[in-house]
Amino acid sequence: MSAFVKTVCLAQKLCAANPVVARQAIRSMAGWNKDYKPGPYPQTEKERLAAAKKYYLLPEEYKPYADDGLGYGDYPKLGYGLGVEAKDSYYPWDYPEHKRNQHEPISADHDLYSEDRWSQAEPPRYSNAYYFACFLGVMSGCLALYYWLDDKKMYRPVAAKQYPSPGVKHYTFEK
Amino acid sequence: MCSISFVNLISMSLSCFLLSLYFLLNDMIYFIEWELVSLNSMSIVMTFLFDWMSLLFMSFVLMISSLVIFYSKEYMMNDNHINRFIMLVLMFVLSMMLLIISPNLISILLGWDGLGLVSYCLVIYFQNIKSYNAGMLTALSNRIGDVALLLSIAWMLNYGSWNYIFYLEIMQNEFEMLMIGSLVMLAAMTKSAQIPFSSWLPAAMAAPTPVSALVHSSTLVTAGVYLLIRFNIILSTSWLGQLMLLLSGLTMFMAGLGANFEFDLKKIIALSTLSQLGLMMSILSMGFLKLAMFHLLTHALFKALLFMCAGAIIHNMNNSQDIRLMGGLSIGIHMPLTSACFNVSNLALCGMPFLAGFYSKDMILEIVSISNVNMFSFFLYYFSTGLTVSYSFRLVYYSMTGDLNCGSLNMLNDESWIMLRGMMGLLIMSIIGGSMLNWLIFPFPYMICLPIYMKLLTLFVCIVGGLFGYLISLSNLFFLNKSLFMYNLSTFLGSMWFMPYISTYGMIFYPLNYGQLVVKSFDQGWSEYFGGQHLYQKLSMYSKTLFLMHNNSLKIYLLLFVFWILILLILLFL
Repeated sequence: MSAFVKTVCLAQKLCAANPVVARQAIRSMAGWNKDYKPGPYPQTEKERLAAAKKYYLLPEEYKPYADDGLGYGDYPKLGYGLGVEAKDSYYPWDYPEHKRNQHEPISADHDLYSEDRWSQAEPPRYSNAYYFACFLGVMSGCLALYYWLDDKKMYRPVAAKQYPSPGVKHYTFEK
Repeated sequence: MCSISFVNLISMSLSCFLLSLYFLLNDMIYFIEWELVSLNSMSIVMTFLFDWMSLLFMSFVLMISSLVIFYSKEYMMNDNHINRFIMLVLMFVLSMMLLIISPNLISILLGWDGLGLVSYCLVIYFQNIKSYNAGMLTALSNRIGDVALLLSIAWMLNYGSWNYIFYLEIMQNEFEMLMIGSLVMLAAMTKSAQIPFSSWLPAAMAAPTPVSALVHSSTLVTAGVYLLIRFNIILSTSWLGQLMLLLSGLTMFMAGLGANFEFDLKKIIALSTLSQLGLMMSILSMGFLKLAMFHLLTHALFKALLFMCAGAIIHNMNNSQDIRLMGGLSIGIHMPLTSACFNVSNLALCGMPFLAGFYSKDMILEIVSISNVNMFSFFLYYFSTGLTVSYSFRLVYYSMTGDLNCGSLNMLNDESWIMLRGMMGLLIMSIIGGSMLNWLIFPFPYMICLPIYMKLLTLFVCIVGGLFGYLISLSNLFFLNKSLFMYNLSTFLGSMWFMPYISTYGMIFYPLNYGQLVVKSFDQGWSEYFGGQHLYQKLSMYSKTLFLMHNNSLKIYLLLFVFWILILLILLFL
């Protein structure tokens, strides 16, 4: 309770000193606002250049998503490749927790490629298809082998079964 | 906190053990029922099943958890939140107890889900990215089994009660029971990490070592085996048993191969656990449930001891787990008691005569020899036994023999007396436990008549495996050349047949992308059109139109309101 009161008092003091702080805090608390919305898909070269400048990209690297109804307007399409984990851990990033520098554009799929989701430290050795093919191939091979050997059992050596027939001594093992 | 829990758990373990002896010798089974709610003809009853199997298992679980808690007093000494850790371990033990004494699928589900959840919390205990990922893999693999168990509960609605113990024998040939059996088998396969759900067990080594000793060697992973022991009748009377035999045999084989390529101490022990689980499951699928129980119990003893020794070694190596950095003199000379325990548990694992593992493993292999088993399965059993000895010898070679490989600032000592006392208890049990259980569980000897060469095959395979393990570790001069020569094969065998990659990256990327497409098309697209945004716009458009009609007059608004009520009444009474 006392911690809560202290926080409120601190917030009051800060806001009294600089009113902009309160407005900024409120803006970030809302999470998302209209200023964050990407602009419309750039049609002309001039709009392309302006969009590239807005997102701190070079014009030759700027490439928006296709305008097919599932696009993001003028937001750039950034390939993440292997994900955040592939980025160097020892480089002095501006934001080391996110492995990002100031003004580095964030991908639209950033929450997919973060370190606790899809991200690989290094490129996989083989393709996805190779991994699946090897595993499923070996498993089906084993299954086929098992099925084929199902009537070829491993048994301890036993004598042939004795059937009673005339002229042959037949043991019944009774007392 | 540690001491109180230790005393409580060890006393409970002792009482359970004495009860189990009494029940075993007098051939008693107790069903204790408690009616919770009764409404006309329907009653909700909580049942507990006490027979020698459940009591013996409970006593072993309680004993191992008490020693692990005692051990973790020193192991987790530098942790600020040790109370939270002990609480989690106790919750785990409680869930395990509930699972063991339930003859009823609903209370098994409570215990089962509790185990999955608490093991997730324990795996993510050291909060870094790797632990989070490992915890996610553990939790989601176990979740598949939880879903299968829920489905089997749904299927059991056909019978009117969830007490499977009453229906197993009578309904064994029915289709519904086959469905239930296959779903329960799926659940057990996920919990006991059989193929194709094996990737979570080595990943779960991100947990603290006491957790691995308790959870990932003796209790959580054996819950699946225990459930299948209870459902054994279904396995042995249908094709499920044959499928299980193949999958568990392959698991045994795959894990044995993988452990021979691994360099992380805890991963080798995890793969060893996986191999032994495969052995338990395969002998269970052949119908020998007492043998499976026997191996479950002996394995719990020496595997927990092995993990505890690994923990002591890791502490001394300053938290390094790489066996290439553990020289011989460091362990053998500077940690005599720990290395003695390590050696005893390794030998018990290999099936050294008259230690704990020998009685169960040797009996299993002899029973396999006299049963008419598929030749492929026979090969898998014996080859995997050889592989077990091979990786055990390899582990001892790297950690105990040879020259000092660790850093110069490691203070090697064996003075962690609390951890040692925890290990001593299990050391005694590893030595005498096998014979004790053998004489208890199998009071009358079973005549196993085999020719001399088949009888000695086990010993032969162990010796050859040990030699092989020693020789391949010796060939380190040419290691780089040899491994590059057969690179594809060594990658395949050494990474558990690519299952970790397939279970994580292979399974996730396309569904995630498809999910994003669905979010954009449905959640942010058509659902908004028919739901939030478009509905709001339409309603505001209508209200603006109406507002124009009112022309800012309250009378017209009220008149319109009266007209609307009249229309409604006319419609109502027409």
